Amino acid sequence: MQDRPTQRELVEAAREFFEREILPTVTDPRLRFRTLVALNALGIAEREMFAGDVFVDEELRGLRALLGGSEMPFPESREAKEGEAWTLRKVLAEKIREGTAPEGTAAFLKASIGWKLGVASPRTLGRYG
Amino acid sequence: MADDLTPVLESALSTLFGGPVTARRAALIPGGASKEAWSVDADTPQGALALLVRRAGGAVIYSDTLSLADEHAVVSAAHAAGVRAPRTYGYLPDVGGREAFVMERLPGEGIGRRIVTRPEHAAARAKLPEQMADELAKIHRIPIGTLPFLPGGGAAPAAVRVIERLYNEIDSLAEPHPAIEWGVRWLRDHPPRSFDEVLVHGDFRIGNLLVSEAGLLGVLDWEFAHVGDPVEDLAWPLVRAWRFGQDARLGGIASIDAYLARYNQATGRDVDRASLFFWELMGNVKWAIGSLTQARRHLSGKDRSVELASLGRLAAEVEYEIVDLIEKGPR
Repeated sequence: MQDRPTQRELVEAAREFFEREILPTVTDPRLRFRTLVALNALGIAEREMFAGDVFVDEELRGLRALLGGSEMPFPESREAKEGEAWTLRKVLAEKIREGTAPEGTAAFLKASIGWKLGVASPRTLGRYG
Repeated sequence: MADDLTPVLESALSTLFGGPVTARRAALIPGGASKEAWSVDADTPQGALALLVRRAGGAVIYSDTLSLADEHAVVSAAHAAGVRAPRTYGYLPDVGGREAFVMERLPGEGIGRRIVTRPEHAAARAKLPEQMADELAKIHRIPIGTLPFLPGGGAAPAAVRVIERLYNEIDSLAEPHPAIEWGVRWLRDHPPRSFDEVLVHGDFRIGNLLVSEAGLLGVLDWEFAHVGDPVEDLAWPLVRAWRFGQDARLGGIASIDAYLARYNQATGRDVDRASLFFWELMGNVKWAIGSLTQARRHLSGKDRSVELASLGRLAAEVEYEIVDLIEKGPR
């Protein structure tokens, strides 16, 4: 067990420093752009740490509902969840390519990309009606 | 300084112009990894010229782009056909051990986000839809017979060839992306009308155009030129990523009405909205895969960059657009 600040609080502290003290001093437009991109990357990491397993759980449940496996016990470790989700995602990708996507695929895809965007780019969802 | 290429440039340019050339200023424009761009102010036998020297980079050459010799030939052909492409001055096989070519350095704003959002470019934005259509009409009339090296040709319809290439790219990512598969599957199930094949610019969008108050000044970045369906070019600036956060379907600046009407009027083609939608979706699929591929350049260590790294996560934005386009259907 590590002491506070937590992983997320550390990234947040670093991001705030770059945002408040470094960014205002950067005048070169290209360097400024890349600094903003780097800050955004830290923001993504923070949101992912904050979300914890929530989105992984949602995706795995959605994939199981689509492809089967809901009767099996839900994995406990993050690694096991991600492993199973990866495998099921691969099955789904193959089915789509073969033209045998299960009913409900479109709705699942929209929801699962929404979970990714909740971490990577929350503002994007607001642009869609 | 490693960047001081001035003497080498002066010597190469002197050979090209057939007389002494002095470079008053030579600066490497930051950005390109596989190819360099040098901004050079030169006194030449033809007078003072603002030049841009495109030169091979030290790193990997990507196989899906034209060689500099071929890019030089394409830009020259475009300029000769009356396209607002830079005037070229010649190909140089050896500038400090690497190939290069020389063209005029056009003025104007090239940063897409500024063109699309800044108030001072409002006048240009009003003119751009029809000007972009006019340039594409000219580009699609460039004779391809003299450019036999252009990739992309084949017996199957252009859409089928592009889909085959995209599958290869997806498979080389070696990870599953159901949303991208969903996009490609829709494209396979809804083949568009085929138009006579032309020289396709391959990256015609705001961000690769130079713009002033008068509107479009120049069409840049010809390295993705290939043979294909003209609607591929027509739809590329509609792709969400090239709207810079704005909603308007043509590059964030306008609806497609005037743009499409003008293109059809100028070419005598009757490109319909369904074909445009097909290639708009294709463009988004292509860019989703492109984003993931760019992130791999960072991850593999080939080209470390936080910009490239971030694209791996921003691909989700493009995936959402793919699924949303399919849900809402052609319009």
